[in-house]
Amino acid sequence: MRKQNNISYTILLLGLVSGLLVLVLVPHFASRYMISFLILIFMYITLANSWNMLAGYAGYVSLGHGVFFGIGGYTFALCIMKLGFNIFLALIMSSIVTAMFALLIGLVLMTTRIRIAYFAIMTLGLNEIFKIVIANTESLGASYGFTLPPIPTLLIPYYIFLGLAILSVLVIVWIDKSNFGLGLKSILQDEEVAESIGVSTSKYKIMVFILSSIFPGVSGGAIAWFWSYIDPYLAFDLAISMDCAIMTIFGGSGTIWGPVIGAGFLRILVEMLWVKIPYFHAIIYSILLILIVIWAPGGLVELFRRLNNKFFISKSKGEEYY
Amino acid sequence: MSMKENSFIFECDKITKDFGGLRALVDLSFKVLKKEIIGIMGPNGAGKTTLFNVISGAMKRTSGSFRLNGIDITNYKAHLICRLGIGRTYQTVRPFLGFSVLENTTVGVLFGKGKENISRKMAEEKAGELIRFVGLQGKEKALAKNLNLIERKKVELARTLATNPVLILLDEILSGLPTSELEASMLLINRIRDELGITIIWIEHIMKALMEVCERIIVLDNGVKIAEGTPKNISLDPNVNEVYFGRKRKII
Amino acid sequence: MIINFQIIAQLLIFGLTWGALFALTANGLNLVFGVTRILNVAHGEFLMLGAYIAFWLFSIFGVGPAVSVFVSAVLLFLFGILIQMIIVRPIIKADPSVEKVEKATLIVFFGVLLFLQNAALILWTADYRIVTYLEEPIQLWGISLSANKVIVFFVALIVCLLLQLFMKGTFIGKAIRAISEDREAGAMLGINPNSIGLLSFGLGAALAGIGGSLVGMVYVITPTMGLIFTVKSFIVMVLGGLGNVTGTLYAGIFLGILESLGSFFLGEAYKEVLDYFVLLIFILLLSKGYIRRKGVI
Repeated sequence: MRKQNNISYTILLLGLVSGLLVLVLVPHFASRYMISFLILIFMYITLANSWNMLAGYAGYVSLGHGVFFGIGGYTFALCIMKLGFNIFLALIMSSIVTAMFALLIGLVLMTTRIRIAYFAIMTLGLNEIFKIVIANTESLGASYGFTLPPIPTLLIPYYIFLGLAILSVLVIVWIDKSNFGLGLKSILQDEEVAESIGVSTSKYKIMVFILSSIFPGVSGGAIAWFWSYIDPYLAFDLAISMDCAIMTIFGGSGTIWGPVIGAGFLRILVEMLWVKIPYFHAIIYSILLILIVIWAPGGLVELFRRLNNKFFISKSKGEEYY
Repeated sequence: MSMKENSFIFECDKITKDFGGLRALVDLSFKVLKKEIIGIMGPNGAGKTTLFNVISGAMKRTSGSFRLNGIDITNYKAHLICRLGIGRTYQTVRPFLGFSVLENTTVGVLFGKGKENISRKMAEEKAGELIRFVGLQGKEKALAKNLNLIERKKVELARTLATNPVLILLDEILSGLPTSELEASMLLINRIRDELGITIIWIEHIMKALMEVCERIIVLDNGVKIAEGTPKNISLDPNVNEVYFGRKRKII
Repeated sequence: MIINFQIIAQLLIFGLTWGALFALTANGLNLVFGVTRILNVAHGEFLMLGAYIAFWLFSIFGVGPAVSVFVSAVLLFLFGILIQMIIVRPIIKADPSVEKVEKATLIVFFGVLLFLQNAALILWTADYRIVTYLEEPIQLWGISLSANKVIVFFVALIVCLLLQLFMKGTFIGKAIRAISEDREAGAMLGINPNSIGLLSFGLGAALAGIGGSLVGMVYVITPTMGLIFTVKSFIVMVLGGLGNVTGTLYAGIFLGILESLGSFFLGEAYKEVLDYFVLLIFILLLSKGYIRRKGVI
């Protein structure tokens, strides 16, 4: 059995590497439409992974994770429009400012003994409030937002988003395998007990919160650049927060590949349906979200496992390990 | 036997704990010698688990102080108290249900006392030793949620031992166990002290067990220490008899 | 800035009206959370539905808010029960542990939130709607107030007081309070926690519906109006105390007046920021022990 595992491992690795190679070469051949489509998939993969870090591994469900997307987007826009920074400096600023906000918010929300439900609604409220404040502040563009200079080429944003997606997966793998991640998982299991066995829960929670905020932050900036536009309703759209959540949960929260599978599956689904009714994709997502939580809370990954267990009986006493 | 200041591993000085209008612990003071096994007894609601919550840092005390090896740890956060060497088990048995036996114990090793920067592999080895110590060898990969009560208690114990404590707080660890398991469990508790050198403070309802194993017993009632002494003295103490039997009578 | 009696009085009345509304909707949220420990993040969407019910009844049938408040209450009560049965029950059946239910329901109700918002956007578009009813000002002690605001205040206040009577005086009300405080103890007394849970969902939704119909009289109606009310209801609920109807009333009025003053001195957009700040500070004080609360925060 070991030999078989090694072979399947190698095949998987080869498949992954070739897949990545394809993705790297694609933009030189593909249509504008295809490239834009891929950019969005990469962005959603990044967002979903970042939500997974916080909710899937540490157990803190954020219903307003898009707030970092908006903060990053606006930091980028302001850096470009008001400070004249170049693209990369502006993106770096996006990550720094988002991390700072995450630190500030984390210092209040994650050092006190707050219920998960409270955390959820407070993040939801935070997103809403940022939206309202920016929409009403002239110096921040008010409700009209900013129009940014157009992108010189599609290649750079493509590689930026591909890079973000890959990086976010790597961070998830690191979290899944590392001691830090084990500490997070123990917080998810039972926070009070985790604290009593020496896990510095406040520190860990803030750290993962900051980590999970940087990815949406940079994504927000990069997408503002890509679309050459930002306004508060786009940047702080509730749909972004929902997308993070449903893509992760649909694929499988707390797993390495769940968010990637969920993001890919759901984006392709919506692209295929492409009904011309506005807001339709949100209706589909919300119904799917409700159904999956009720019927298969572990997402697609868990469904695969269940099917796997059914058809390929485990060699050791049939005991269910997973 | 000389009671030098520095052989007290744990000292508790006038600890009081209020919950709004309810006073759960009243001016509680006691000292524990290194490698002692101290029992804590008392009717329900006497404040026993509250005492453990306060000592382990899960709750803040209202007034008073306590020291571990001379260090004042009164307002320390729970994870620091663990890192300094106090571990505890829970009355309601709380292993990490989604973790395997090995993962439960390994987490304890990784985050407990004195093991900064240990590799996962070495932590798992140490964990393996402790899993064998409590008698769960062979079940390393089993998920805690699939284990029965005794096994869950052992996992929790292994996890607590993994944090490398100098003092362990056992909260009704025998509760729910069939009588056939009691002897073995009491033996294990003795081994924790004899082989691992860990001091034990042990809350228990099963008086027979406390009487047999502990060197000293403290009796609480309504948050007040009403008696302290050897098992024999406790069984003769009139106050204890009154609390348990309503009249002055000898226990067992 | 001219500050005189007129302005202060206007601000206070404005604050009281909104405060009573906040208290009303917060009570709905509080009721459900207290009994079932489920935080209904879609609470504001029920309010939005109540607002639209009032709007359509008024535009199509010319029905005044006095009647639409009742219609909303009944319809939303049924809707709340429906949601509990088809969505919450299966979740609890699958895994009744408190933490799992808490998380699962958060996400599921997030789905409900988005479903209702987007369904409303599709059905009724994002156009602003208003109910123009009794907008004529009346003169009271030298201050001019629009009649509808006065009505809204009194109706909201009365419903809050009725709720208080209900909770303290009737058997069901006491049963609800019992289950809120200690589910097992209540069950041992013969109260069925599942039925009470169902009922509280219906009541909570009904309260949101009533609030919505009232809000519809004094505020623009849009499909996305609900969310900010959910957030404010939550703030009032935390400030007022879980399961505490009187406390919620006071906290609601406090928030209303705070917003009123806040929007006057800081500007319209910043009143929500002020609310949120107050919540943050309150939570900090609670966790450090400067404010005492019995039970969980």
